[in-house]
Amino acid sequence: MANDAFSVDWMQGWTDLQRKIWNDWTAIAGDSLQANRTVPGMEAMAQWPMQWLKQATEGANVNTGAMPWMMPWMQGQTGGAPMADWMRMFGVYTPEASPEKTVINGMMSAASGFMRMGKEIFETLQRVGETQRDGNEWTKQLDRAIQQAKALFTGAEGGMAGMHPMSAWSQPMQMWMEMFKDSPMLSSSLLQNMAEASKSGTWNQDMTQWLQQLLSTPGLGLTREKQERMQAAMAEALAYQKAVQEFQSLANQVNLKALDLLHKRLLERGATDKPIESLRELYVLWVDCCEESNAEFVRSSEFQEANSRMVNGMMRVQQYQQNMADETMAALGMPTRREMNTSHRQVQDLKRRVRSLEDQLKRLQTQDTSAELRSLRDDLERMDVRNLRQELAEMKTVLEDARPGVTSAPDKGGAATKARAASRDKAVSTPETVAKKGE
Amino acid sequence: MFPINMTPQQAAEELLRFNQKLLSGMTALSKTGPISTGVSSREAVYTDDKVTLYRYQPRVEKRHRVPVLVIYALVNRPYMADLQEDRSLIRGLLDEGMDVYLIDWGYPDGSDRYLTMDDYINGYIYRCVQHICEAHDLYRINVLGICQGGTFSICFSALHPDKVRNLVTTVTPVDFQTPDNLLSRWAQTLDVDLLVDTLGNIPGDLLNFTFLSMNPYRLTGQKYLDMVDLLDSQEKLRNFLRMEKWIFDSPDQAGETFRQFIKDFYQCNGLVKGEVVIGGQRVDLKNITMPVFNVYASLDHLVPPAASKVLKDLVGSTDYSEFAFKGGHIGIYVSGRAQQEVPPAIANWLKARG
Repeated sequence: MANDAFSVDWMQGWTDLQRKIWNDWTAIAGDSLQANRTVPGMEAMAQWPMQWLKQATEGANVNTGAMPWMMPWMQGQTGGAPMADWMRMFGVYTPEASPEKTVINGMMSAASGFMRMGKEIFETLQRVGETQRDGNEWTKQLDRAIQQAKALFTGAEGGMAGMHPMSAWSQPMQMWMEMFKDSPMLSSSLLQNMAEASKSGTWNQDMTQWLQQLLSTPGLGLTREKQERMQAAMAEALAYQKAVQEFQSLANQVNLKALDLLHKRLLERGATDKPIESLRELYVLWVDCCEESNAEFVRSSEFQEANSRMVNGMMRVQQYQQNMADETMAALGMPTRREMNTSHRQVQDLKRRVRSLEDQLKRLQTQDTSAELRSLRDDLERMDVRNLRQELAEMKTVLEDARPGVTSAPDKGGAATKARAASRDKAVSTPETVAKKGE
Repeated sequence: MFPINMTPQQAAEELLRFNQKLLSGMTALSKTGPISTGVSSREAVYTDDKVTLYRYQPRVEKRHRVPVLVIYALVNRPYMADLQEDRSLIRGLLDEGMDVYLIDWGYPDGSDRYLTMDDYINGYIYRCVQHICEAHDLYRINVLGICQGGTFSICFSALHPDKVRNLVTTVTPVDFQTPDNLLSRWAQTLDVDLLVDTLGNIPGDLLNFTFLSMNPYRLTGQKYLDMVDLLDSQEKLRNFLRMEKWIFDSPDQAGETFRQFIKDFYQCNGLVKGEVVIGGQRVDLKNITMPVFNVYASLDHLVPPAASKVLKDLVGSTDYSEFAFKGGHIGIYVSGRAQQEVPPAIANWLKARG
C-alpha cells in the first residue's frame, strides 16, 4: 500500500471491528449458549470467537497490506456453508421461519458475496498501479479477469460450477436453494444423494451406463413385479438426473453471457468517462448484468422445455417414491397416501352434498308460503263458491219456472242476473272484508 | 480510462464501513421483536371451513350504504392490503367512508386438496356475499378483487350478476396469454396433472421459488445488501421485515383449484374465450352488466397491463372505467403514492354509483 500510516490505522480499525463483532455476537448468543450447553458442538462453538480473532489478527499484515478477509459470516467454522454454524446457534432461539431468520440468512449471504467481490477488486486495484490506469494495460487485465471467471463455468468442473452467474463472487443462489431445501419438492433423499454424487464428481457417464444396464435386467422369482417397479423408478431417477444436467448446461450459458455483458459494460464505462466510484456501484452493475442475461434465458423456449423436463422428471421420481412408501405403509397396517386421498375426496363430496341440502332446507324454511295460501283461499272463495252459488240460483230459477201457472220466461235473464249479483255480494262480504271495511 | 475510479484504500474503507453497518444491523435485528401485520381493527363475522369473513371497524361516522367485499388471491396472505398504518388499502377505503369486508382464505392443508374453483366461487364467496346481504338487508353488494382474487370476482360476477352491484378489479389477469406474461410462458409446458397428482396441494414455497426466479439476483442478493443501509432505523427495518414476512407467508394451494386455474386460465386462456366452466355453468363475461372499475399497474411484471385491460371489450357492462397506477404489482398497494391515489379513486367511483 502506498500509505503505511493509513494502512496501520485501517488495519487497526478492521481488527477492532472484528473484535467488536465477536463480542457483540457472543453477548447476543450468550443466553442461548448458557441454556444449551448440552447441545452437541455448543461448547466448541463458544471457543470459536477467540480462535478466530487470533487468526484474523495474525492475518492482518501491515507490511504487505494483506487484509484478514474472512469475516465471521463468510466461513463456516466446521467447513459448512457461510454462517451455517452460527446460524444454527442463532437458530436455537430464533423461531423457525421467522422473517428475521430469513433476513439474516439473506443478508449474510449477500454480505459474503459483496466481501468476496470487494477482496478481488481490492487486489485488482493493487495490481493495476496508477501508471497503468490511463493506458490500455488495464483492458488486458480486464480481459484476463473475465476469462478466468469464465473458466469457472467452462473448465473441467464447468458443469458443476453452479447454475447461476453470481456464483463467481457470491452465492445468492446458494441462499436461494438453502431457503427451499426443506420443501417437499426437494426433500427426497434419493435426489439429495444423487445431487451429492453430482457435486463430488462421482456421477459420470460410466456410472449412468452401468445403471442403465442394471435396470434393463429382467426380474425373477416371487418379487419379480416389485423388482420391475424398482427398476422403473431408478430409470425415472436417471432421466431426471439427465434433465438436471441439461438444465445446468443451459444455465451455464447465462453465466458466460453475464460475464460478457459485464466486460462490455466496463469497457463502455471506461470509454465514456463515467467511471465506477464505489464497490456498491460495481456490485449493482454486476447484478444488472446477471439479471439481463437471466431475463433473456428464462424467456427462451429452451428454458421452458428444459425446466419442464426437470420438474416433470422430479415429479415422476417422487410418484414412484410415494408408491413404494405406500407399499411399506400397507405392509405395516398403516394408512397409505392413496387411502388418505380417497378419504379426503369422499369428505369433500359429502360436504358439498350437505351444503346443498342445507341450502334447499334454508330456502324452504325462509319461503313466505302464508301469502300463497291466503291467495289460494281467496280464489276458492271467490271462484268456486261463487260458481256453486250461481249454479244454485240458476237451478232455483229453473225450478220456479217449472211451477205450474208461473210464466216468467221474458224475465228469466233478469232474475238470474239478480241472483248472481246477490251471491257476489255475499261472497265479497267475508269476515275479513267486513273487518277491513270496519277500519 | 480505467473504469473503476477508486484506490485500494477507498475500497477497503468502503468495506470497513459496510461491516460496521452490518454489525450494528445485527444488533438492531436482534432487538426488533415480533413483526405485526394487519393494522386495522376488525371482527370475524362469519366462518366457513378455514375461510373467515372479517368486517373492519369503520373509521368515519357517515358510511357509504353499500358495503364492499375485498376478495384476495389464494397466493400469499391478504394482510398485504392492510400491511401497516401508512400502507393500507383497507384503511384508505375506511377513511373514505367505505364499509369494508374481507375474505381470509386461511391455510389449506391436505384435507383441502379436492377444493375446486366451484367450491371457492359458488361456495365460499357466494356464502360470504349472502351473509353480508342479509346483515345489511341488501340484495347486492360491491365486490373488489385483488390479483387472482380479481379473476375469482369476475367469475363470481358473471355467474351471479344479481348479487354484485359494482365490480372493482385490481391488477387482475383476464387475458392469460399476453406476450409479456412470463408466468404464462412457464405455465404452458408444465404438466400440471402430474404436478397435482404427485404433490396434492401445491406448496407455497414452490410458488415463491417461481416468483423469485423472475428476478433472482435482485430478490435474493441485492435486496439484502441494500437492506444493510436501512438497519440504522428501527422503523425502516421493521417495515422491511413486514414486507419480508408477507413475501414468504405463502399458503399451499388447493390442488384441484390449482389444476383448473393453470389449465383453464393459463393454458387454455378460457376466460377470454368464454370457455371456463365452473359448477357446470359457463363463465360468460357478457353477463357482467353491472358497472366495472378496472385498476391496473402500468409497471406490473406479474400481471402485465394488457392482461387486465382486455376486460373492457369482454364485459357486457356499458359503465366501464379504468384507472392506471404508475407502479408495480405490489407497489399499487404499499407504495406511499398509492395511498394517495388508489383508495380515493376506488371510493369515489363507488360513491358515484350509489
